[in-house]
Amino acid sequence: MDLWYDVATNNSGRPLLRGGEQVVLIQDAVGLYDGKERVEGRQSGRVFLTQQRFVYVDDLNPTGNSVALDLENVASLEYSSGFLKRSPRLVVFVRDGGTRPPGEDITSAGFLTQWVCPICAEKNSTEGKFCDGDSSVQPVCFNCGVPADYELARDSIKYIETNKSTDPTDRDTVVCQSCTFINHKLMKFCEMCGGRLPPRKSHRSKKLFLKTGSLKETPQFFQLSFRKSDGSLFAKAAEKTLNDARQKDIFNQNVAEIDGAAVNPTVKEEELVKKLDKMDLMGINGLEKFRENQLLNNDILFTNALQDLNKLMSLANSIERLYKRESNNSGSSTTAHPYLVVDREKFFTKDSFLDEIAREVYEFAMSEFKDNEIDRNVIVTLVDFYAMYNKSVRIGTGLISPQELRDACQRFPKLGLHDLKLLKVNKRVLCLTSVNSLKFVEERVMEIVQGQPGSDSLKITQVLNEQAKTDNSWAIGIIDEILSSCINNGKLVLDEQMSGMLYYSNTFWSL
Amino acid sequence: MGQKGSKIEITETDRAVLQLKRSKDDIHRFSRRTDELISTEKLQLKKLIKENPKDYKSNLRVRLLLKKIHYQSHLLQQASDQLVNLENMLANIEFKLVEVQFLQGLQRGNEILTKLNKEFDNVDEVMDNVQEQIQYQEEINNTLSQSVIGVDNFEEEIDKELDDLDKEINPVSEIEMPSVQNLPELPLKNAPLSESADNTKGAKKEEGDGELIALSS
Amino acid sequence: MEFPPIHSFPPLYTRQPNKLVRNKQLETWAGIILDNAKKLHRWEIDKTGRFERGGPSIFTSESIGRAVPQLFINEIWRHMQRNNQIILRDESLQWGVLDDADADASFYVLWRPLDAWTSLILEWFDTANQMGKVVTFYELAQGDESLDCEFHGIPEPLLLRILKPLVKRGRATMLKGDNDQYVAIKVV
Repeated sequence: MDLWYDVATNNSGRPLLRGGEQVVLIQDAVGLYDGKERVEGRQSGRVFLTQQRFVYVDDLNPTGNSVALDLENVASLEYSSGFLKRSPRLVVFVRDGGTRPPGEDITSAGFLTQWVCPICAEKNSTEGKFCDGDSSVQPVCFNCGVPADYELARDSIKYIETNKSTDPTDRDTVVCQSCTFINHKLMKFCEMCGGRLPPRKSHRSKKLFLKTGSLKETPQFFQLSFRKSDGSLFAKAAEKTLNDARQKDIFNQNVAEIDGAAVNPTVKEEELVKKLDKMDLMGINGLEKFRENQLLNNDILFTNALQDLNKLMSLANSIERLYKRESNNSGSSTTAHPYLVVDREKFFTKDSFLDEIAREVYEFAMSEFKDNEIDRNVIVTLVDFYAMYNKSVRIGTGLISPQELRDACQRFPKLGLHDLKLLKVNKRVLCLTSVNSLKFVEERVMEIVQGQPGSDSLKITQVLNEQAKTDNSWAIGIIDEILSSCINNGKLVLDEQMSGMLYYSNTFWSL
Repeated sequence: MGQKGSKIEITETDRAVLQLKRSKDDIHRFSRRTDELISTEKLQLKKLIKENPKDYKSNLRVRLLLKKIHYQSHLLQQASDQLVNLENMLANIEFKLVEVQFLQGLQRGNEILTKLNKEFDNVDEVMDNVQEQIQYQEEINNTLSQSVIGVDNFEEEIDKELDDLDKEINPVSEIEMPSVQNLPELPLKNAPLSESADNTKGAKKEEGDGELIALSS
Repeated sequence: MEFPPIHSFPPLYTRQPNKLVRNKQLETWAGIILDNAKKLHRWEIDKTGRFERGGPSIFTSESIGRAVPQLFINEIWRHMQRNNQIILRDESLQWGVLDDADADASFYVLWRPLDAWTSLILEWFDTANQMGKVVTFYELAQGDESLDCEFHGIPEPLLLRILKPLVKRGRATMLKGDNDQYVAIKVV
């Protein structure tokens, strides 16, 4: 189970992915099996298939009990469908000698191996179990740095089982690699030589994998049991992802950095900077070089920031130019005047603010509708007008509430703005109208109905707006209100049909 | 409400009439139905004949239908007769009722007449009485008027006075009439008329000769 | 059936929302019904506006393709009932109870008011010299004597209702037939 490492999740139970990692598929109601046995406590959860790993997120305890397995460690996949009561499973064969990702938390089984290096005779103590395995996986002597051969070191091997984790990172000190000074565990750079200290999640473990748990020779495998669904889709997706990952042969491709340490120094900026290798970091020279590197990095950062800022400025400029061009096109004299912005904060009392708003509303309404040839016959519902006004005038300067608009409109007579008034049509609908417009539109509607008896409100609106020949037309809602008021005062009669309401002129039953 | 006065009685005759009328109604209904039936069957017959223009005479259905129609018509006839009978009966009854009324009226009138006539028994006696009384009265009158003697015969003087009175009155009543003598003659149109006119005026002709003659020529 | 031009006016078939206009509309329908009843000489009409079974309803117009919905038809009936232009055939039915279940419910159309009918019949009794005589209902309605009269063909239950006031006034009595129903009347 070593291959599975704890993975951090956020509060809502979703796993925190690495930078650049993308989720391919999510499957829920999955249970985890180690070999053929069930893993306790990990039987109901979701499995996220990402481009790099399988992540199991437990349902009951997502934050504490979630684990992940890197696809790098997967040798092959096999899908077995359900049989009678057994649920369908995806069998994940893991590779021998797989690695744990760097910088992840290790829950070791608590084995410690003490051995003597055959070259320099230093006692080493490493995690895990040093067994006969591949030559690729050999512990490195900390003194001379030579990887140990199992055969040569075999005699000196002692296995210590520890219950608590003997992870060196659990200690509260860190030994500097270059000067062997013992630093505090939280230090990143050695106090003495300034060299970079290895991150707490030690890189060492990269080289140290050993087979743990059972010492079986049989190929190890895990199973994902799909409780609810077929699992075949997941299996296929997993295969595909695995193949993709292998083909690219770049594992952790999109990972930019792991725990602060950049993994792939292929970023452009770093090309400018001389790579400081280990030797460079020693001594005063090292210090100086180190400082230089820092400064250079800062410069690069600043330059980037300034570039971004420039871009932003140019964008703002182009927007302004665009705006100016547009307003020039309309060609009216209003662009010459600076626009008076009615800002909420600039008024002492709500009253005066509303007055100003009222004036602005009035101006806006008149300028909007004055294209109307027919003598400024404006009639628009307050709702429509509210939308228009807010969207066009008040976007930057603070939207006004419907109540405020209504109050403002009610101030028109008080302020001496007599062309428009707020009218309650049919005792229900508030409209902004110019003086005679209600009557005017009513007359037009009557004319149309007399000319074409049996029209519905849609048709009337269409005809009316055709006749008006302007862009500014009367909304169908207004027409509906007018029709209903005509019905109420007996000028029109109604024919109700499946297709809608048709209106006729009331010739027989006139009041 | 105390008024229940005008309750109309239903006599036995009424009930009898009701029964008759109901029978009449039934027959009427029946005859109407039969009539309709006959007309529909006739239509049917016509249709059948149209369908088989050649052999309708031998077609059993046609013949049957025709027989049926005949029978129905016969029934109808009978029904009508009965109807007529009933109606007659009813009419009789009605008339009889009227007659009864009439008779009753007569009877009653008779009774009253006899009653009244009885009053006339005493008439003769009364008449004799009355005559006697009148005679008696006349005798008394005569007797009373003869009683006083030596009364002057004022009759002549009375007559004179009356004559005087008369004269006083009479000259007033004499109307001054213009004399007829100076009248011109009437224009003579027709000879016979003029002759007759002449004849009538012939008596006065002597006085007014000259002028008259002049005129008549 | 003959119809005035308004019968081809589609809004006639829709219940008008305006109250005053609706009153006039109801009046119009009442007029149409009474006129047609008079011309066709029919006294009965059913709930859906048919004078005879299986015949066309007065409330549909083929030419303009409109029909009055039954709900509004009921309103028309109520209106006419209020004005005594229509009476329910089955007196035991309460109008409020009337619903779709009573599909057979039908009305008598009084294109003359009830008491006008009574007077008319009384007149006939006079002119036809039937005073004081027993006359059956059948005779009155279907007999040859009444062939020229307006009330020829009147249904007998309606006749009964027309003649009842005479009995009440004390001018007539009714006679029962064999099956204990009134069949004849005698007027004085």
